Amino acid sequence: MAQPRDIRRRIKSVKKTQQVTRAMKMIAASKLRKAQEAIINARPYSRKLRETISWLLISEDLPVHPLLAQPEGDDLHLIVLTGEKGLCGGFNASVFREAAAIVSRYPARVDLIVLGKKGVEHYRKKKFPVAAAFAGFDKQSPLALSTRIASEITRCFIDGTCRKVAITYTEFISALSQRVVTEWLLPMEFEKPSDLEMNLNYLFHPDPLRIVEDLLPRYIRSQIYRAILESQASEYGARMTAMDNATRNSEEMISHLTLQYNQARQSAITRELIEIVSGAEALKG
Amino acid sequence: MPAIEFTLVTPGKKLFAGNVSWVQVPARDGYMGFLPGHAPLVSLAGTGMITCRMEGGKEKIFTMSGGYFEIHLNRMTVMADVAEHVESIDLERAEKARQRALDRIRGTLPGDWDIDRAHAALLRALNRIGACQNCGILPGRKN
Repeated sequence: MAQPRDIRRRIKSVKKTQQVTRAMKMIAASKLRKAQEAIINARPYSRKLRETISWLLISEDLPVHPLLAQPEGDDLHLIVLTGEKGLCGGFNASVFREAAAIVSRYPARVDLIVLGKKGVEHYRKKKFPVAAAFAGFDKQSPLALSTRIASEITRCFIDGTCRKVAITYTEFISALSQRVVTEWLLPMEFEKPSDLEMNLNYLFHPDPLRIVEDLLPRYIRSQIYRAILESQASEYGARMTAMDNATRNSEEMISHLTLQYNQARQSAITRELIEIVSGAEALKG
Repeated sequence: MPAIEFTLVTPGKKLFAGNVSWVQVPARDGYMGFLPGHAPLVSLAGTGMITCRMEGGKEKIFTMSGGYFEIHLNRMTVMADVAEHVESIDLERAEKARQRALDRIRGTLPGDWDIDRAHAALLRALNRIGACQNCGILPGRKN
């Protein structure tokens, strides 16, 4: 049986770990609150933008725009949003799994655009070629970053180096539940609006072409922006849950170890008593 | 009384949602006013003030810059790149931005800049300052 002293030492170390995980949980919770607010505030904009464009696309005098092309071919640019740090349960692993599934479906040619240090490290370790990598992206403004990525993929799509663009990220449902999704950015696909809305004849000011030129790049930008915010909120949510579990596990471990410690202490006392008693008996003898 | 369901959204925030009886929005080449029953329209937005007249006659004023707006079936949405309520404008910052933009245009400020961006910045600063003046908000006031 272990010495009481050793067990006490272990209890101490588990307690220290627990302090760390509890602090990390608190930090994640406070960051989550901010991130959650940001994503909830950002959703109406991107939803509305999508709606406007789907109306635009059914209008009769729709101008031709290179971003509306539906090119043949499978050359894919896949944007993968991962986390900056670990210790967040299966957050990064499930993004990698989803990305790997997409990649295997498009064996022709896939260029990865990876955001997040964890993702960059993962693909470097696997020696998977990465077209563009953004580590430390949580320190940059998501708006500026999404503008940069959007203009890059738009350029690639227009000059024909890629024919499909998708983005894999973790959608934030609640602090406890997140879901990895893949959305197609290009070529653009929109659901048909309802019949009532089909019959509206929109006026365009200054003219349809200028509006389409403004709105389409804006749409891609806003999709990437929203995905970044979703992914960030999800990362904090996942970390909070993971750290909560870790804190609870260490609680369990401490109570288990305390029991062991008490048993060890008790048996030491009993042993000592036996020694004293038998010593005294021997003296009497 | 018919009304327009008016919403003002920026990429980061929904700033206003409610019924208005009249609203004026800056398009690229001048202001456009909207009354209930307006024909469906999509237009690019410029820099300027949004004036919403609420039911009851009270007016709410915002400044905005960039983006577009869209109206159909008495539902109107302004999708602004930047927008703020006039009460939340940082007048001091706008004043500094105006000075900086002027210095750039005059060429007294060294550095990497281009004239179009300086013009746009000056326009935004003047818009904010003008909106504050219109609403009687004076410099030096603490927000």
